[in-house]
Amino acid sequence: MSKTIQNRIVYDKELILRLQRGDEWAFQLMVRRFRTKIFSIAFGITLDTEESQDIMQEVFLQVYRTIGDFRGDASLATWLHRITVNRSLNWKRRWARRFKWLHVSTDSTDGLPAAEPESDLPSPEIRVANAQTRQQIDKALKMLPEQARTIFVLRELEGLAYEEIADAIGIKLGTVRSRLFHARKRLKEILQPLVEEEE
Amino acid sequence: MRYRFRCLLVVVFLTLSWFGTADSLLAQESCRISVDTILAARNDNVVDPKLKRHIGELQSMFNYTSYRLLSSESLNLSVGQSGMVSLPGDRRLKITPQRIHGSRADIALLMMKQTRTVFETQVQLLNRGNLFVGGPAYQNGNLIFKISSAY
Amino acid sequence: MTHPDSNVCDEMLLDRYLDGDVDAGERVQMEAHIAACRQCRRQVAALEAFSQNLNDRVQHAVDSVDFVALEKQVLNKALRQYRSRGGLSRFVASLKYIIPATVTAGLLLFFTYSNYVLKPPPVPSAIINSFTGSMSSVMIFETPETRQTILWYTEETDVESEPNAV
Repeated sequence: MSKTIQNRIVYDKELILRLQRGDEWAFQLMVRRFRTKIFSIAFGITLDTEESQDIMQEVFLQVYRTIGDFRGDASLATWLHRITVNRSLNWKRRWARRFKWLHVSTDSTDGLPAAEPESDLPSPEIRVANAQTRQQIDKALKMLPEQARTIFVLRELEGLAYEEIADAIGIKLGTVRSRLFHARKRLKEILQPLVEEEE
Repeated sequence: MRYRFRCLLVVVFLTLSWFGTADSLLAQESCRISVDTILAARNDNVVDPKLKRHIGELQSMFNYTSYRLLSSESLNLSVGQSGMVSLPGDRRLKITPQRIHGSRADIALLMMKQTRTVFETQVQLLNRGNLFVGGPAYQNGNLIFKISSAY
Repeated sequence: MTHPDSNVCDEMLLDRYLDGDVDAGERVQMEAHIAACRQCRRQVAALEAFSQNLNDRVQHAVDSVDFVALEKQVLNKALRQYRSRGGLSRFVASLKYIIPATVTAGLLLFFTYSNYVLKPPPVPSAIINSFTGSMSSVMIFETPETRQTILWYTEETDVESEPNAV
C-alpha cells in the first residue's frame, strides 16, 4: 500500500473520530473536502443545479446526524458516495420536481441553468456552441436509464474503479461491468447521428 | 429499575383512583360516631384547649363566652347496631346507624334522661358533618352535644 | 479476455480497454484493432469526447455555485440540528417518567385539596327527617354560612333553660 493511501486512511480515521465526537472543525473540514465531489455526482445524476445544491446539503447533514452509526466498513469517501447516489436517485420521486425534469426544452436556451454566469469568452458564437454542447450532453444523459447513468457518472466523472462503484451503489462487480457496458452502448447509439454529422 | 418505577407509579395511580371512587361505588357497612359534650356558659371566658379547633365554629353559632369539653366519646357502629353514650345529668344517648348512602348516614338518635325518653329523632348526617344538639341546663351553663360521623 | 481475431470488434473488450481493465496482451490487441478499425476508432473518439464534454458540463455547473455560502448554510443547519437534537431527545426520553409522575402528582394534589383544603359543600350538615319528644320547645336551624345544623330543645323539667343561647 502506497504511503499516500496509508496517510489518507489515517487521516480519514482521525477525521471520523473527531466527527463522532461532534467536532465542528472536523465537520467543516469534511464539507470543504467533499463539497465539489458530492455536488458533481449529484449534478451528473440529476442535471439540476439547484437540486444538486440541496442534495449536497442533505448529504452533509445526514452524515452529521448519523456519523455515530458509521462502523468504518467502508472509507469515508465511499460512504459519502453511497449517500449522494441514494439521495440523487430519490430526487426524481419528489413531486415538486418531476414536471421540471420532463418539460425542459432541449431546443432553446430555456434548458440552461438559471444562474448561468457571464462567460468570459468574447465570442457569442462560441458561447452559443458551448450552450448547444451542454444541451446535447444533457439530452444524451437523460436518455440513459437512471441506474446506467449513475454508473457512467461515477466512472467518467469521479474515475471510480469498478469495485468502488459496486461499493457506492451496493451492487455486484459483474453488475457494474454490464451496466457500464449497456450505458456506453446506448450512448453510442445516441451519439451516432452526431458523429456522422461531423464527418 | 425503570420497569419497577413505572409499575410503582401505576400502582399509586390505581390506589388513588380506588380511594377516589370507593366512596361512591361501595356501600358502607359501618361508621364512626363521635359525641363531644361541651359545657357552654357566660360567667367566664375559659375556652378548653381541646376545643380550640372548634372555637370559631362555636362562637359563630352561640353567644356563650366559655366552652369546656366535659367528655368525648367515639363509637364504631355497624349499620343496625346501637351504641350508648353516657352524658352528664344522668342522660344517655342511644345511637343507631340505619343506612349509609353516598355522603350521608341515616342515624336514629334517642335521648334519655334517667328512665324517660326526652326525644327521638331520625337524622341524615353528612360524612364528617356535625349535628349540634343543645341545650339542657347543667351547672352554670348549658350542655351542647356535638355529634359527628365519619365513614 | 483476449479475442483470437483482432479484426472482430469486441464491444465488451473495448469497454474494458476504455476503463483500463485489461492486461498487457489485451491492451496491445485492442490498440492494434482500433488502429485498423474505423468504426471502433470513431466510437472511442465519440465516447472520449463525450466524457470530456461531460466533465466540462459538470465543471460549468460547479463554477456557477457559491460553495462558500453553501458551506456556511450547511454548518449553521448542522449546529441547529445538534442543539435541538440534544434537547429534544433528552426531553422525549424524560417523557416516559414525566407523564406518569405528573399524573400521579396531580391526583395526589386533587385528593389532598378536595379532602383537606376545600371547604365543605354548602349543604346542611344534618337533615332532620323526624323528631318526637316531650319537651317545652324545640328549634331546628342552621348557621347561614357553613350550614351547621343545630337542634335546640328545652326539657320540660328544665327551669334554667336558655332560649336565647343562640
